[in-house]
Amino acid sequence: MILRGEITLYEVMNVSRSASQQDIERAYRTAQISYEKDSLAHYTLINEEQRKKTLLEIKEAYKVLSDPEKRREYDLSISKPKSEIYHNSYFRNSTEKLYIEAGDKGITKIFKSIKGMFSSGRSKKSDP
Amino acid sequence: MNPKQTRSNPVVSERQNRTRTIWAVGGGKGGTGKSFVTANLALCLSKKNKEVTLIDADLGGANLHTFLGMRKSDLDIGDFLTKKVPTLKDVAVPTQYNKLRLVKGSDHLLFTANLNYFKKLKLLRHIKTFDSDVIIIDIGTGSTYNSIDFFLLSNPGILVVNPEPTSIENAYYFLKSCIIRLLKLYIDHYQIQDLIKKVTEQINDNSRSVYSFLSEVISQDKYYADLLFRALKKFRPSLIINKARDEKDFVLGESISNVVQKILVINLDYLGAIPFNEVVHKSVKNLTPVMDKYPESDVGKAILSIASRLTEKKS
Repeated sequence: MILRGEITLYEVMNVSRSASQQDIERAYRTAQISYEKDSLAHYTLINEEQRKKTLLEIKEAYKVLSDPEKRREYDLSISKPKSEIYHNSYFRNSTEKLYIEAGDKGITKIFKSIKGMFSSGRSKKSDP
Repeated sequence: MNPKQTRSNPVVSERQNRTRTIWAVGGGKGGTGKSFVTANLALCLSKKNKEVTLIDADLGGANLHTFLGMRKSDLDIGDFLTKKVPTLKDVAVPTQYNKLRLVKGSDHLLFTANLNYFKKLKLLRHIKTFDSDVIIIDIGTGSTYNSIDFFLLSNPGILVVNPEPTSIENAYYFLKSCIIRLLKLYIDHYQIQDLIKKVTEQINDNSRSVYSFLSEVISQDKYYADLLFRALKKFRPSLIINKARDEKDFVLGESISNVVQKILVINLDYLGAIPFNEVVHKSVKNLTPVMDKYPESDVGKAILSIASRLTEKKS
C-alpha cells in the first residue's frame, strides 16, 4: 500500500517533516489506537492483512523518527522533494481549500464535465 | 492523452473575492442526526448575529422544518423546482429565530430520485444567490449523485457519523463515492479516459485502495498523478461524531481522521463529538432546538464548540 521509495517515513506517520518529538509520539499513539484490531476507525476500509501491514510500517517509521540520531541520519538520506507531489504541503500542512469557482461559468463548467463524462448512450437530461 | 499544459483546473480555484460560505451536512446513513446537527448549527450561528439560510435538500425525506418547530404548510423547494415560483428566494421562509431563514424540503415523488442535470444546475445557481453569511444544506441520506455533488461543492462538507459500525460503513462508502466522482471528473476533463475504467472497477468494487490506485498512476505518469493528488487534497471534508457515549467514542473521530488520511488520501478534519443525551430526545419531541432550550447542556456546548471551529476554518 505504501509507495516505497516515494513516500517518506513522515508521511507514513501522518506528520510533517518539521514535527517535534511530541508530535511524533502523539501521532504514534493515535495510529496505535486507530489500527487496533477492534477499532471502528478502519471498519470495512482495510482487511486484516492491510491493517497489520500498515501498523508495522508505522512502527518501523516510529523507530527511526523517535530517535533523534536516527532521524537526523534519515533526514540527510532523503532527497528534497522531486516535485510538488511529494511536498509535505500535500499532507498534514496543506492549507489549500476547495472553493467553488465564482459565478455561473464555474458551475456550468463543472456540470458540463460531469454531463459530458457520462452522457454517451444515456439520456442527456439525467445523471449517470 | 496530451493536453497537459493547456487545460485549466476544472473544478476549483483559489479564493479571489468573497465567495458564499456553503456547508453541506451529510453522511450516508439515516438517523445519525444530520438534520438535528444542521438545525442547531444554524441556530448557533444566528445567535452569533450571522445571517443564515438553511436549505433542506433531503429530497424525499425532508424534516428540517420540524427540528425548528415549523409545520409543512408554506412553499417548499419543490415549488421552485417545478417552476411554481421563479426563484429559490421565493420559497425561503423566515423562522421564529432572528437572522435564520429556511428553504423547506419536499417529499414530492418527483424528487426522490436523482435530480436531472438542469434542475441541479439551476438549484446550485440559485443557492449561490442568497446573500447570507452562511448557507447550510442538509443533503440527507444515501450516496446519490445529488448528495455527492452538493457535498463536493460545499466548503466544507460535514459528515455526521455515529460511533457504530453501520454508520461508519455508510460514511466510508459515501466518502469513496465522493472520491470516485471527483477523480472521474478530473480524469474526464484531462481526457485520460483510460483511467476511468480502473477507477470504477478497482476503487468502486473495493478491490484496492485509493492509495494503491494512485501509486499505480504515479508509476505510469507523474504529471497526472500530481493532478489527481491535488484534486484529492483540495477535497477536505469535516467530521462530527454524534451520540458519543464513552471515552472511546470521543476519541474515535481522531482515529477515523487518521485512517482516512492514510487510506483514502484525503484530509478529514475532525470537528468534535456531540454526547448522547436525553435532552436531544426531549427537544425533538417539543419541536424546539437544543440550542434554544438547552444551550447550557453538554450537547449545546459541544455544538457551540463545533460551530466555532467551523467559522474559524472559514477565516
